[in-house]
Amino acid sequence: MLWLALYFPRLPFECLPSWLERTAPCAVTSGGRVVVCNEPAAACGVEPGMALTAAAALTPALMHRERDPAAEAAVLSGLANWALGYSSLTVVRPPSALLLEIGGSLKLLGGLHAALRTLHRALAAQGHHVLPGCAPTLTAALLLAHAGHPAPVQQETLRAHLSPLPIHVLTAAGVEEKALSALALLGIRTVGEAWALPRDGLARRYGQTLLQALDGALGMKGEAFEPYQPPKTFSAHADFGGAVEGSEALLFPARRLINQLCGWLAASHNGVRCYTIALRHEDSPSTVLRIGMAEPTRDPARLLLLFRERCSRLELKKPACGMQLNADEVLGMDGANTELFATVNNASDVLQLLERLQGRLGPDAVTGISAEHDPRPEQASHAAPIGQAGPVLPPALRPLWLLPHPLPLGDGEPLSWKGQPLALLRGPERISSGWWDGNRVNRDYFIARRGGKPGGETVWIYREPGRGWFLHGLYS
Amino acid sequence: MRNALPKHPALWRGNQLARVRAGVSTGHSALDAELPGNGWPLAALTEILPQTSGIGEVRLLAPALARLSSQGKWIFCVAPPVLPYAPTLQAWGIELARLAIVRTRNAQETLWATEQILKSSICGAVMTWIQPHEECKITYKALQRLQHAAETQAALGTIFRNPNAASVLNNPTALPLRLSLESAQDGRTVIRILKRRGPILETPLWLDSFPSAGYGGGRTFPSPDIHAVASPLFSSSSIRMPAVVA
Repeated sequence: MLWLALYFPRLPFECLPSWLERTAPCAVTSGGRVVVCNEPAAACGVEPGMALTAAAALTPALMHRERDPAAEAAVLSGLANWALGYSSLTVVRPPSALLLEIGGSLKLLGGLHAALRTLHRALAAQGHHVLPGCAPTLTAALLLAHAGHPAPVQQETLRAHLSPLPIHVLTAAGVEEKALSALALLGIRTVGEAWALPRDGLARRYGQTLLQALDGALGMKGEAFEPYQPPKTFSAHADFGGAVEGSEALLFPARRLINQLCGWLAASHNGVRCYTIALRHEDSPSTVLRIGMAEPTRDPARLLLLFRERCSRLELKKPACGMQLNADEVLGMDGANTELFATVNNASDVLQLLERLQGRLGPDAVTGISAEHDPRPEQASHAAPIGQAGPVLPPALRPLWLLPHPLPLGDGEPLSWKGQPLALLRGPERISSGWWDGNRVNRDYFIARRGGKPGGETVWIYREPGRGWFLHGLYS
Repeated sequence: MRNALPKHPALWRGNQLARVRAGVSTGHSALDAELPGNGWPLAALTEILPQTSGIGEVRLLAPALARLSSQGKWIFCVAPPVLPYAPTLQAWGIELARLAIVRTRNAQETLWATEQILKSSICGAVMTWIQPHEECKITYKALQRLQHAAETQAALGTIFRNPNAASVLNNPTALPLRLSLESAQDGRTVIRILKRRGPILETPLWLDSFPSAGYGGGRTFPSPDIHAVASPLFSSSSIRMPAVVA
């Protein structure tokens, strides 16, 4: 097994997306002490662990907010969903770490170094600062991540790498702060020094968890963990931590949610065909965007592109304060086969273009047309879903534009249109049909040309007994 | 020396057509001969200005559309004035399964959709119609943008505009090819090439009148041609006539 620990030291800050780009000093506090602060605050001398009053004295403009454990847990489980796209075995370690068993995914991800790079880049794009740690045991990976040791460690050198770590990193493995402080008072400062102590006394004085952590880190004892179980249905939300006005600013939280969705879909070998994004407002009903696709997908770039198209023509009447993503239509999807010789994936290119057009112009704006075996001209052609062509009709001299409503030309004495005479060229062709459904037609069709200048249109006209002449089409 | 010069492939003279990639044949040899690339240009947008709608302005493209369609390419109609008639397109040889109609609400959307389609690798041809009242929104810059989009792929792009709008004929076009169409008294179509990559063409081209004599079996006026009276409920095979016993 090869465990990759992802430790998010700034998670309390990162669950407030609208704070990420602030240039004013900001800090998240807990119990009157600073937990995390941003760079402008750090530049003024604010540090984690500092009392809020002391920090406020350093920068009177400091904006602060109480830590929100529920929001952090939501972001962390969202990240766990996202991580399912990389590893089927994911463990959540609250408050701010994730563990991925990536030994089984190395081939898929193109090796350990490529995998680390990919994960790092994907997390940076979602606005997460991450400290990785990689080791053959879960506890060791956690300790390395918390200690800021990103290089992967092998089983043989595990003890050598873990020994110099300060004793306090063991809090990451669930050991109580009190026990570690007591050890520190004895002069035990590193993990290596703790290993050298007699085992039975250690367990008796400082509790079983300390011994378990020390043994587990080296792989001397099995480690207990609970794999993350993805939810049956997907629904995730992001709180902006403030009001967002421009639609461009919605892309960032949308990217996070879409990445989570795609990880969740990958874990269940599914694709999504329809999803909704609801934008929450302070005091009015949510704006709901429903985004559908021609075929199920779990490609985050494509989902985001469609959302962006929808957003670009969205006019937000009120600022949004949160976003909720629901996967409405989830369907099974076959894995993509990588081909030996890349062929042009024509079908998906077509679908992407059609989706793009429908995304902006509306779902009904893009259609195909279909022919029908019906002698009545107006019944022989209609709009249809793309790809439904209908039967092939015997060729006939028909106009390109058939007017939806025939244009009355009067009684034909003289036969004229737009003030110019119409000369008959061909005809008559009698079409008498349709008595069975009440839309009976009984017409003699002619091809005619309008005289005059400018003129010369070739038109399709008909005479109906008792009703006169009508213009029905143009030979464009 | 002078006689040898025109034969040199690297030399272009002012009275020659530009050397561009081969186009797709228009189906009219006289028109092909006057177009750079010997046909409708690919990876470019062509402006067609029919004097009025209904003089065969779209039919002019039919042979090229049929050829592109038979190659498995897609054909797009952006903002057509009404829904194109399926039997006619079939008769032209267009595969309806690879045809898409895009409806738009304004000129901005029309231009956007055209651009997206031109940039797609699957598009064989795109035809765009501009509403007469929206001609003023089609700026030089907008067309330039479309031309750049067209150059990224190899589609046959055409845009139908109204030459009677003041903003059209009085202004230069950013597109490499501009034709105007008119119908003569005898039913023939007059094509004027207003702009091309090559010398000015002063004499118009004439196309045969429509419908041509050979088309549709040459039915003559006024013998009535009775067509399709049967109802779908009783096809001839389902009606059994009693056998006549001699």
